[in-house]
Amino acid sequence: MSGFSGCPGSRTVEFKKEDSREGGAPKVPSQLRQWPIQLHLVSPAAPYYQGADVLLAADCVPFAMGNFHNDFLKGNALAIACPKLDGGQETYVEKIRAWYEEAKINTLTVMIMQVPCCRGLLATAVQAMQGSKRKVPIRYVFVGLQGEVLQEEWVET
Amino acid sequence: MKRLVDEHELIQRFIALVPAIAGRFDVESESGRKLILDGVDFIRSYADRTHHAKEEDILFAYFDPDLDILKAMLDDHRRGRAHAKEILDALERRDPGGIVENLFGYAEVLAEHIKKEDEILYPWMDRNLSTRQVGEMFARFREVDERFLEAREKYESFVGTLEETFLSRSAEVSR
Repeated sequence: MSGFSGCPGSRTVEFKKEDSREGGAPKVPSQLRQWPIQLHLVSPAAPYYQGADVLLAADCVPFAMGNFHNDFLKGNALAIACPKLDGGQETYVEKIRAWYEEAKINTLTVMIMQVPCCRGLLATAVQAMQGSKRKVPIRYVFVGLQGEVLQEEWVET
Repeated sequence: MKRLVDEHELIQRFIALVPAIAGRFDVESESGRKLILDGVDFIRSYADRTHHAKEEDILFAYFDPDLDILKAMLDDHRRGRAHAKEILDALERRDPGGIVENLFGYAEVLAEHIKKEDEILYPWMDRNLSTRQVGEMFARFREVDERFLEAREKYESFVGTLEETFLSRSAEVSR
């Protein structure tokens, strides 16, 4: 028993890692193709969203996943958000809906951490779809605290 | 892929009715002949033109046409079409035996075909399609669905009516 009784997303956990040797790992090139990336800052009308496969990642995901750039970001347009801490999330629904309807994105992949508060980001994407005139396939990826993919499915919309 | 599995359900409901229909239709009456014509229309317009066309024109196009499993699936489609043609030829000859034989032949081909697709082919394809391909396929399936929306409602209603007619009659007979 840890005695912790608060939000699982705020529970303190430490992962012991062996220090990697300096200079031992090759540099991994960035796969980011755009700026900005925060959902409040991006415009759905930006050219990199038009007809794109869009990745909407919770803020913590790229830090948890060692190979986020090559495994998930490569070839996709990106936006990041935190469903627990970000304010003004009603505009998120409108922006995501504009991706579906106006930017005519091809797919949306929502990547979230396993902690319960992160589910809100997927719920926002699904809510935006419910009021959308255009349907788009939505995939979700649940990521564990150590960066492992726990579950990956297409949402039935 | 889920959409294709859902479409299989209506075809499965139709082929489940074949034993009840076989032998209880009257090839000499106009209503009996209309029932067979409507059944073949379901096979050709719904199962073949809508569902199998989605597979052949859209889904299978993402894979190597020389794959044995795709050749087997296309062969099943051809066998299904051949049975539909034989049913109409038998109707023309007023041959109830030929109609029943080919109705059962169609049901057998499709039952096995659907099982192979649901349990082996679609899960395998799902694992091998990229996210971009899934998005493209989704959009193209939607175009077909929108074009055939009224037809889908018509054929759902057709199968529902057959179930009410033949399954309730079967229940009465077995009492």
